[in-house]
Amino acid sequence: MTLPGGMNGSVMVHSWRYLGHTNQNPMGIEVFGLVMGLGFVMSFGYWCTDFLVIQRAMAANSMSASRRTPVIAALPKMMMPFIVIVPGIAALALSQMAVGYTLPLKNGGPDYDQVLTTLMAHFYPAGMLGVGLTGLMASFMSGMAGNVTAFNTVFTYDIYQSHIRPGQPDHHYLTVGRITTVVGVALSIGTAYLAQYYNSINDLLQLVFSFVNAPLFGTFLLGMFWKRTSGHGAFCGLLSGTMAAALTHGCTMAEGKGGWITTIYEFPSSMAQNFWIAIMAWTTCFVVTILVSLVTRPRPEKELHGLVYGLTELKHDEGVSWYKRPVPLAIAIATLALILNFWFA
Amino acid sequence: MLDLRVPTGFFFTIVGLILVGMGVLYPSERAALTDSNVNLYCGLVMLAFGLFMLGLSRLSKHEGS
Repeated sequence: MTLPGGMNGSVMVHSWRYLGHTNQNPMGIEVFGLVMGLGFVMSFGYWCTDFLVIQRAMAANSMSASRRTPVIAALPKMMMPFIVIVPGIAALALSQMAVGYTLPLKNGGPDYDQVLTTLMAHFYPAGMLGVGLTGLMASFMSGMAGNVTAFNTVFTYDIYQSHIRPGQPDHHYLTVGRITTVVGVALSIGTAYLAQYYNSINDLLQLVFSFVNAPLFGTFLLGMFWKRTSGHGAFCGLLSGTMAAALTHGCTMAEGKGGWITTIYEFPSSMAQNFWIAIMAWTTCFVVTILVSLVTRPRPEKELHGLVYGLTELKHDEGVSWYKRPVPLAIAIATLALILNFWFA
Repeated sequence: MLDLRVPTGFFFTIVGLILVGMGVLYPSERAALTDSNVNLYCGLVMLAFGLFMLGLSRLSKHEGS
């Protein structure tokens, strides 16, 4: 199979073989950009700071169960590449096989967001098509519901109740929460229209993550593991990290996006640009937080109990059978991840 | 607390029944590129999964009471 750019189609089923140089793969990324940008900054940022993920662990019924949550969630997440890549390969292959299927187009390029629905419309029989569309809609709705709930919780609890109007009766906050839900849904509808201007939903999603999650992950990391971190350091780090993301986006171009200040460098794909924005944002936040923390007054240690790793008494999983403990589970999951990486190297 | 197996079981049982019905009543409804009755087979699998879930929830209810 040959890809549109004339590349060998086997690039799509190998995770490491074509990462030596940016011109070897269609994403235009090399091994450092991928491992640091996607593997470290974006993935950890998503896994550790995204409230949609965190609220799942918060809803667990015990400390042990909440520690297991991300480990168990990693298992279906590991299967995501198969769900994402296999239909893409199938679509590309079927479009070259003269079976009446053509790739959906958008602005002259392939429209990635529509591939799955056009595949379903073309190759499912009536009956299964309904089930497929139902499944697709259900997953959109559950993702949206989770995000709106997270938005609602963060706004009502952490912003409105803590800073805008504290000390009100419960029904007041309930009303605010309900209004926030409506606003959240309206905002997501607006975002859907914004996403139309990008090549694919995923491009926009990763761009937002590289602006928001990447610097936030630097702040979280230092805040959780370094007791010397000060509030001023965290704020300056977060601010400069987000500004570094904006600067990187403003000074580089990829697929006609970015470069609103000047174009110093052009990335082969938006995804490569997003990874590098994330790397810049995280590194800036991390370094600035450390520097500013070192020259500002540290928080007294007794205020940090329960918040910073070294000063917190860790609850161990006593009385929990070994296969329910996070460490054996994590080792099993990591082994599986390694096997998959060697398999599809 | 709501046992998630109950709504899951009902959902897959109902969808499975609809698909099996489709497969039996309209056997000529075929997917492109295949000769097998996709609706029937998928429906049977979903029906089995739905009933399995409902069975599990019944089982744990008996144990709990």
